[in-house]
Amino acid sequence: MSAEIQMQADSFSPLIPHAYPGRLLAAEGLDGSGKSTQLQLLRFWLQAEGYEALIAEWSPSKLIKRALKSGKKQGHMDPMLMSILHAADFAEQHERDIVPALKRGAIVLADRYVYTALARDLARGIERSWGENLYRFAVRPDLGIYFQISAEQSLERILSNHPRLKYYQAGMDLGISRDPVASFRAFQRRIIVEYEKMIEADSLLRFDAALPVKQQQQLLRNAVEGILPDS
Amino acid sequence: MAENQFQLPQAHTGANTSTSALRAERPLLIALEGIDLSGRTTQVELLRDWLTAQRYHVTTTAWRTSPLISDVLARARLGPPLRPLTYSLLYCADHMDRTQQVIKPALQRGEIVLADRYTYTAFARDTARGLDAAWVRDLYHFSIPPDVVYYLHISPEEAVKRRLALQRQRLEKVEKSGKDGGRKGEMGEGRARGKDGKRSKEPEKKQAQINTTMPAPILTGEALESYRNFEIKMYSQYQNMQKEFEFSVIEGNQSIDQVQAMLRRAITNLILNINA
Repeated sequence: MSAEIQMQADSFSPLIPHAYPGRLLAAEGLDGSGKSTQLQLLRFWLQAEGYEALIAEWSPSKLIKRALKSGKKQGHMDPMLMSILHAADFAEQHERDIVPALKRGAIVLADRYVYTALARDLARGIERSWGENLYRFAVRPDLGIYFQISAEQSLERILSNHPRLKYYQAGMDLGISRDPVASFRAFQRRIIVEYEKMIEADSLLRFDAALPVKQQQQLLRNAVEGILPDS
Repeated sequence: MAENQFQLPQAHTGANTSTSALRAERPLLIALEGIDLSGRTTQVELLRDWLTAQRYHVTTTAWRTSPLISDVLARARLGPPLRPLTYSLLYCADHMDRTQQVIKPALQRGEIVLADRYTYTAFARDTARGLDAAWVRDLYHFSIPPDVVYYLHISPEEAVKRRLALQRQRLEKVEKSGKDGGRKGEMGEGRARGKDGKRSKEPEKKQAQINTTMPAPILTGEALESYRNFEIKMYSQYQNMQKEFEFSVIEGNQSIDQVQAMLRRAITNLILNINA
């Protein structure tokens, strides 16, 4: 958060690089993009290589679940308020789990990091500069990967595992459509637009998440090898 | 104190005969700030009663009283303590929720809004806890700038003195009523407060903002020392902000009536100037 950090247009680069002995990998992408599977495989590999590796999954904790639920009940949740509740939730995880692990020298695999949060917030229409500032407390990942799939693929994969789309997942709070599937498509497309901007500005690596699991894993390991600390 | 000591222009009625809803010439957002135990809450309550008696429509709002967030905070209290950064964001969410649910609608109705603590508490608190000052200020970018901020100035030493006096009172009360209260965790404190609330003489204390405020735990030794140190930090933050945000400083180290008189005089002038 020093003054020398330059704010570029459409860039989320004011995240501060860390100087901890550990490494941070951020895996971003739509639901159903296969990030979680890839991170699991990666973790086993890293552990076999002798690293302490852990997955930090970003999902709403009990802390804010009730607040989100009450927003859902009222049929309205202000996007900024939602964004800050998610940020608070993430802040706790960041300070409690991620930073201490990086200090220990662990490899932290973030199953969604601030890029996804910000992409969602922006897709909900919050002011860009405010949103970017909000997440500025987060350390900059050593490697950011965008698992790219289309809104259609995401929809297909989610519905093959779950009976229906979740309220916020489908962006139902935005009132785009009363049909969850239509709402989901429109919302995910907006999110994809935001991811695309970040790929450029924050040099995220783009992965084709439609590739076979093994092939993706190989690509992932190659990318991760580039950031591993010498041991 | 005589209620008529200060003559406020009667709230604007259009025709002067109407007894229906009265409106100030324009909505006002008045914030009271100050370190712990500077008397904000008491003064806000007195101001509310006074302004209401003058037939102004008044809405009060206090730190941490958004239903949405007080629920999250209550839940947080059940678990291990959260990190300062987390609290900082939750308090910001509280302010945001109240801005949208309470402050903005009241101002749109043309009311006078009295805020018991405002964004400056967050600026002071978060910075005192080591967070980046510029970051915190940007976070509160959405908030409505108040028309005036009355800074109830007391020294950190005075805060400690008042705190100890309060503790003594509470301990005496506890001794009288058995061995309840005292050094419990925050949850226990909450319950103890519930009982206190029932015993309260003032029916208005039913307000949500009172219910969610919990008495601070009894501090001794190291805890008292860290309380003192924190108030010293808060004090220096307030002193720094005084110029930056053009606080109107009211000396808080006087009797409740004296402070209230000064506030009423200042608000009278404020309203006169606006109406002029």
